Amino acid sequence: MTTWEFPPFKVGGIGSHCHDLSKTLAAKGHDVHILTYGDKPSDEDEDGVSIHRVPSTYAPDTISWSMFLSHQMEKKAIELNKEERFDVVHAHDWMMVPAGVGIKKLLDIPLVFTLHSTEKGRSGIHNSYTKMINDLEWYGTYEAKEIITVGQDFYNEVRGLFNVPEDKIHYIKNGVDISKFDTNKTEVERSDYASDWEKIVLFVGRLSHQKGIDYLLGAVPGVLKQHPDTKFVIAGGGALDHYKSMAYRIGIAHKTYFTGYLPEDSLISLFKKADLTVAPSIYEPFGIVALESAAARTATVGSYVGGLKETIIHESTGLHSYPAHIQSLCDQINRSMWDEDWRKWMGSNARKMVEKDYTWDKIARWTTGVYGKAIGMWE
Amino acid sequence: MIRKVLLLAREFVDDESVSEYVKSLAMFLADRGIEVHIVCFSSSPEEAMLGEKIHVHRVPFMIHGDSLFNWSMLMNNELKRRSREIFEGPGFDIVHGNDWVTSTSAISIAKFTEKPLIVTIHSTEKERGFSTKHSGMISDMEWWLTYEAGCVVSNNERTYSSLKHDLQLPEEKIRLISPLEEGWEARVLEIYEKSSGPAAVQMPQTIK
Repeated sequence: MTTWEFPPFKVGGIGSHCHDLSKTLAAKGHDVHILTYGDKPSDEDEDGVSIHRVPSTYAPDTISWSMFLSHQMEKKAIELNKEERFDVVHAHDWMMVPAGVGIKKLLDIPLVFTLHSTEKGRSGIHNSYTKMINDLEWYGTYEAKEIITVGQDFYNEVRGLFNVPEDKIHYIKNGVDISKFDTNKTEVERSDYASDWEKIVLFVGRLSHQKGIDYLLGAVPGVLKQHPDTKFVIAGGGALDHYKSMAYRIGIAHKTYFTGYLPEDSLISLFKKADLTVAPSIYEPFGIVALESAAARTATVGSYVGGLKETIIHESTGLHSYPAHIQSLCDQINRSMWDEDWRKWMGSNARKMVEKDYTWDKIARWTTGVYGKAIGMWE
Repeated sequence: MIRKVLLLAREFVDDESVSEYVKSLAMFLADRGIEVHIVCFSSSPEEAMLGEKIHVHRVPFMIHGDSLFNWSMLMNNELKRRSREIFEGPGFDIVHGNDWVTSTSAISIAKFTEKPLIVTIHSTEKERGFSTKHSGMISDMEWWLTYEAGCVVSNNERTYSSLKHDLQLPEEKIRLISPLEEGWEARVLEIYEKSSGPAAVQMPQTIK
């Protein structure tokens, strides 16, 4: 399995995804090797998974950086393959397409390609650089024997965008490791984030337009009108200064708290302490935030978009608002803030939903099924 | 005993210096009964024969990419595929790469097949003037290619000196063989024979 990021080094969700998936696959008896980036080469075993890190080099941009990294991974794969032959190579997102395809062609094994999002959705295709990323995504879907997408809407997006034949594309939802939420030892101080009488509305994610933070800030005054004792805690890195000054201009700086980047255990604790989570994204292939919140028994108000259509069940595990619609977001937050019991009831429903439908055990089984199809086991 | 040789080049066309170099070498080897497989990129793919012993495998690649560096890194996947297929079929005893553009396929195929890697550097990125944003990475690629090679052939004094000073190659790993001199191909064949014969130990494989 190739992934450019793997815990403890991680920026986004792909690292955790690969970590949880590989751990679960190894527990089921599969021999899993992770090829990933490290500032120096290393080989280690963790939870039955062999993790091999290789360095890249100084590069002027991320594309060429990942190309260089890919070649180092490929050399490592050749070396490992001599000890024991690989059955399948599984690449995650465009950065690992060069490595995935290289290993596929060299070792003559099938490539499975998981797409977590697309460049078109993230930033749009507007120059030769973003076009190249879009081309790499297409190339990955073209060369892959089987493609995995992480959401139902996203499945259709990828199929349409890259003209993928139906018989090689699959939808396997993302999972959440509930045990992390149950055994988490770190406790953040609630008083560090809000006054005792304030309710906490939590946003978790990169501060970017895609995540809908603009609409959230726009909705804050309307919420404060009805529920003045609300504190908006905004956790995540990104365009921090931009959004801080926006909050200041709107006049809600005293009711918003920007934490910046937070480590995972602090986030888990915050999810548990929050009264409500918001996910106002305008593009979201999967929407893991709603599931993490659900694992912490906290209901989510999120846009009716992409994966959030599935990870939130309206009026059962949370509430849907129209995407990119300030008034709708404001109304739904207000609705949920009126009735604490209802909110808690939705939180406990959400928890039941992830326990039932979003376990890594299930996802690993489905993924193994796709591997089986890739190597022609069912033919 | 050398029976089959794999030659990797960016392209194989008329009136282009690397192509002409590859062509002369291939014809010399073919005259001595050695089977040659030339694997290169072409926008119009074909499998052709040049005489009776030279197989030309032109492989396509459809993505133009945003830069030569990125294009080359991806295009090499096709060179790897075709070379692996040849290895599984007729096979080969030597992998011979030309310039950084064939780096990743030359390195990976030599490692995969455990065959000796010989590399000709026609010019280094330093000589070409370090003129693009990817020049540093191209130079890194040249370092890796010459590092992994058992023997590096340079065509002239200037490249020889750049290999020695810019890429820190030890002198015993570099051969100065000018393609302008009569009988240069025989000297390349000599390197092949030394690399794959019992004397191969004299060729340092890994020096850092």
